[in-house]
This record gives sequence, structure tokens and C-alpha cells, in this order.
Amino acid sequence: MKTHRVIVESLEQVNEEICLRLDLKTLAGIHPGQYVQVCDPDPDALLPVTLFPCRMEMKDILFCGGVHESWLPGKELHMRGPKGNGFSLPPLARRVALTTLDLGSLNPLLPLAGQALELGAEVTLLTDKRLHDLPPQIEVLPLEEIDAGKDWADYLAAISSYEGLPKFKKKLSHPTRGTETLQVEVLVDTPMPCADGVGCGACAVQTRKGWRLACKDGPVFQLDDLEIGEAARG
Amino acid sequence: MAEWSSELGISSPWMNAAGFGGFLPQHESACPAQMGAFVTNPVSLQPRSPARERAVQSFPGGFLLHTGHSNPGIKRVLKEYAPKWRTQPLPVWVHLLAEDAYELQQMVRMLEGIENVEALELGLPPGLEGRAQIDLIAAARGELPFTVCLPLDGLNPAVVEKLPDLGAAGLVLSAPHGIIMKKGKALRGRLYGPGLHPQLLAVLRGLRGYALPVLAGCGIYSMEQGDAALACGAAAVQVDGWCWKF
Repeated sequence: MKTHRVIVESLEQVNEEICLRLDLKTLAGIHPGQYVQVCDPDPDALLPVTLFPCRMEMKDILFCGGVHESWLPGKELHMRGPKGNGFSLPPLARRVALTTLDLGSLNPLLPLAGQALELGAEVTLLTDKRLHDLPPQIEVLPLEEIDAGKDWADYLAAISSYEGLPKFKKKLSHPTRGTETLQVEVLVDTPMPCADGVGCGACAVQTRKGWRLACKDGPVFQLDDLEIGEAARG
Repeated sequence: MAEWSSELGISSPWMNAAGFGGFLPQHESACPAQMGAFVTNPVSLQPRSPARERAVQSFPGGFLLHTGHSNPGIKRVLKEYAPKWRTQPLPVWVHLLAEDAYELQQMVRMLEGIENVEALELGLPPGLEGRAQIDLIAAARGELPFTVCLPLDGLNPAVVEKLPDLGAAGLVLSAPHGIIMKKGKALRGRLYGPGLHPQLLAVLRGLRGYALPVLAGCGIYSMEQGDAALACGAAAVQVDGWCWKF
């Protein structure tokens, strides 16, 4: 995979997380939930870092994730991507719910919210956090409304650490409404340190079809496909 | 060094460490060295699942990594990769993980005769000590030369002394084990990074005059560090996390 040399253009705080705007001229289309790997050429920076888009307007993409405090405007980074499989927003989805159960940053969900709004869907975010950088069209509901959110939505997107998956499975599975199916996708936020094709296994995720790698087969998975019993650490 | 390189069948003393290059050399990394061999990801007789307690955790000077070396088992690896290894410009060294002598012998036999597989590298299972290590190493003897990986923190002199008699072609000084506490939980794994470099050099110095080639299998994150390891007696150097930088 080609390595792009990119420059940090600016930093921006989005929902209390420092995000990075890169000078991008060559990045192919990146979809919500896909990621890029970024290496700092500084010899003290040992492992690649995973960044997700959190705001996308044409070529102006803001990235969130493992932004290092030493990455200031003008800093050169090496980037590969986009990589992985992102969210698959059903084109006919009209009621989209988003949540992280407040266990992590929801910023990687923002491009998906934007995509849903563009398609004319209603978007609800389930969180107890006070967030200031949300499109005004997004309705915010407290987490205690999660069951109501599931009843209402026809598509739900979430972000969870691998360790957090049991909680997500418990909270988000088994839709409370009759026979209608709620499609739930989860971005599994797990370290993805290795290079293309190495398959180090650090990001392995247990699914109904066997072990899969979040870096290659994910990081977004259907919640129903995830087997979490033995695999969940912690 | 040239003498050892020739004995190891490599044209350059640089190579990747097992687990950091996949099963095929296919990506460019920040390491500019010309490689002399390609070391595969660890492979076991049966398919192996990822470790339950996987971990990736940085610390100043390095990082801790624990994956469990998941792999699809040697049959599937050979089916998919043996035809591709044949056409590689680099000799392939297959890294083997075996729980016992029977497993190891089976894998050794399966690899004999595979074109361009020039050597084997043996990783010992954790918890194996002294006599049991020696018995397992003895089972690696076959048609292919083999090296034995011993972690920096697990060099048992009784085993090191016996390696030449057991038929080993070299000793790989691999990454030591460590623990990092995170949120009250102990993360266990191997330690990688340039912070290990001084420790590596000290061990290399201590092994000067040893009867076998010694390969520096950790702590190499620059050409200078590789050259220093070679100057301290290493026959070759294996690059780990540096392979992942781009």
C-alpha cells in the first residue's frame, strides 16, 4: 500500500478531543468507520497510530483517534489508507441511532451521522455527555432511553472497545420490538499496530465465522456476527 | 561476520524477526536495509487461536505486545504460501511453534523439500525449562538447518551450551518478557523497542567466542544499532517493530 507524506495543517477540538486536519491531496475516498494508519517519522515513535475521520467535507477531513500531543501544525507524518471496512448505512434507513454507551469517543460516528442526515434520515445520539460539537439536526437522548432508541431506530451504529463488547451485546441486542429486526453495527476500537499483510493478531475479533482481524475484516462488524463470550478480555 | 553469513546461507546479515513480516515479504517499511532472508510468522502444527489476554502497550523506549501467535496451522500455511515462497528472491526461514517433540518432528518433515525454505527457526513454548527445552530442541534435527530462539531474559546456560551438540545452526536472542500495569491489571507480553538495545549488546558481548552464530533478534531500530550488534559479535540482526514503521 502506498505511503503518503502528509503535513498537519491544523488542530481542532471536537467534543473535547483533539483532532487533526491533514494536508491531503491524494487520499482516495474514505468512508465512515474506515481508518488510516499514521506513522511519525520521529525514531522515538515506534508504532503506527490509527486515525478515523470525524468530519468530512470534500478533501477537508478531520481525523480523530491516537493524535499525539507532539503533532503540531507543520509536522510531517506518513500515512497509509484508507483501510478496512466501514459502516454500511442502509440507503433506506430513516431512523438512525448512534451510541458509544459513553465508554469512548463518539467522534468517529459523526461522519456517519452526516451521511444519514444527507440521506434525509433522522439521527439520534444516545449519551449522557454534554457535547458541543454536534450538527443541530441530531437529537440527543440520555442513555437511559436506550431501549426506546432501539424501538425507534431501524439502524444503530456504535463504537466499543473489544473489552466492552459484552456490555454492548447485552444493551444493544434483543430488540424489544416484535419481529422487526434492528440492524446494529459496531466499530470495534482495538489496537491495530502491524503493517499491511502481517496479521500479527493483536486486533483479532471472534465472530460466528471464526476469528477475524479488525484491521482487515473490520473494524466495523455486525453486532450479531460477534462472538464475545470467551474472547472478551477484562 | 562474512563467515557466519555464509554458514547461515544469507547474503546480507539483515532480516526480519518472526511475527513482524507476515508469511510473505510484501510491504515496505522504514528499515532501509537489504534483507538476507525472510522469517515467516510463527506457525504451529494445528491452527492456533489468538491469546485471550492480547495486549499492545507502549512504554518509554518500547512497547509490550502479546498476541498468542495465532495462525491457521502448518497445512493451510503450506497450501497458501509454499508456492509463493518458491518464487521469492529471499531464502525463507520458517518459524515453528511446537508444544512437544512429536509436533515439531511432524512440521520439520513437512517442510523438508519445500523449495526455497532454507532454514527453520524454533520458538520454545513458555514455561518449558531445562531438560524439556533440550528434548524439544533435539527434535528439530532434520535435513534443514535450524536456529533456536531464546529470549534475552531466558538464556539458560545449560541449554545454550548444549545447542551445538543438539544440531542447532544458530542462537537467536529474541525479545524478553515483561509486565506493564494498566488500570490495576497486569499486561504480560514480549518487550520490543530500542530501549532493549544496550541489554542486547551486553548479552552479545557475553556470548563472544560461542560456538554458534548468534543472531540479534530484538532491540534493533536503526542501521546504527544493527551495525553495533554486528560489531559486538552478532552474525545477523533481526528487525521487529521497525518493520512496522513506514
